[in-house]
Amino acid sequence: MILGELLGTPVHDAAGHRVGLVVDVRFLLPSGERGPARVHGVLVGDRRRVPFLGFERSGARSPWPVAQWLRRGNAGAFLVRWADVVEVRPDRVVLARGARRWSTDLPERSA
Amino acid sequence: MNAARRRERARRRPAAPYPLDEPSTGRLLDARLHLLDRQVLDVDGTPVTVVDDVELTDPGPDDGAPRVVALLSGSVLNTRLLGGHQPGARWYRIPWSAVRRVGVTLELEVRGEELDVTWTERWLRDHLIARIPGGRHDPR
Repeated sequence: MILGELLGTPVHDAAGHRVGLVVDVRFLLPSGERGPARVHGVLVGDRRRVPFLGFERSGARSPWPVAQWLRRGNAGAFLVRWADVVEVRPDRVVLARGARRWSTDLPERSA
Repeated sequence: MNAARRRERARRRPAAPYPLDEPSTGRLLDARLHLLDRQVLDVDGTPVTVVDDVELTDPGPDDGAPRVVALLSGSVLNTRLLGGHQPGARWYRIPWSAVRRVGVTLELEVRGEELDVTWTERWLRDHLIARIPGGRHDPR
């Protein structure tokens, strides 16, 4: 599977409703940075917006106008853990029933 | 309240903050943020290429989450301008096992000359530059 083919794929919930697009994929790199990086989850959003230097995923609140502008562009985006993804097809990614939506913010030590 | 309004309200509701105790070990990387378009340096610090895409294992019921197999590099200008995807055979692969560190750049633990992605550079060096007088040694 090529990552670029997954990015931009529509995401549907278990009921078949479209909830957004795959805007990014989050990997978990083992401690010590040795060993295979595994997919941790997919970031789902409304638009194919390229992240702006990670600002909108860092939890930064200042400078206020910039933070507000970038947060608004990222509004509605969420992270779904890979365990909650039940199917990946070329035309859609299907989430499990009751898939939990997490914030797209990166934990402090990873940002 | 109809289903469409419920979905819209759910969409606007802020997602739960990420639990800081998960994952217990390791570092999280976002593909677009930390991998794609990043410079790749070899073990000597020489620039090799940039990451144009990433190859993953196919998701399977027994294998768990897909893992990164290789970093991909190739001529992506046309597909970025016109859309579509690069044929698989036209990618140059750098195995993930050769990656030593992911930071501002991706550092490899192998020399760039050992990688397929630098073959055009090596070919030009050996067949063109080497034929130019003075082209076989350091200019200093």
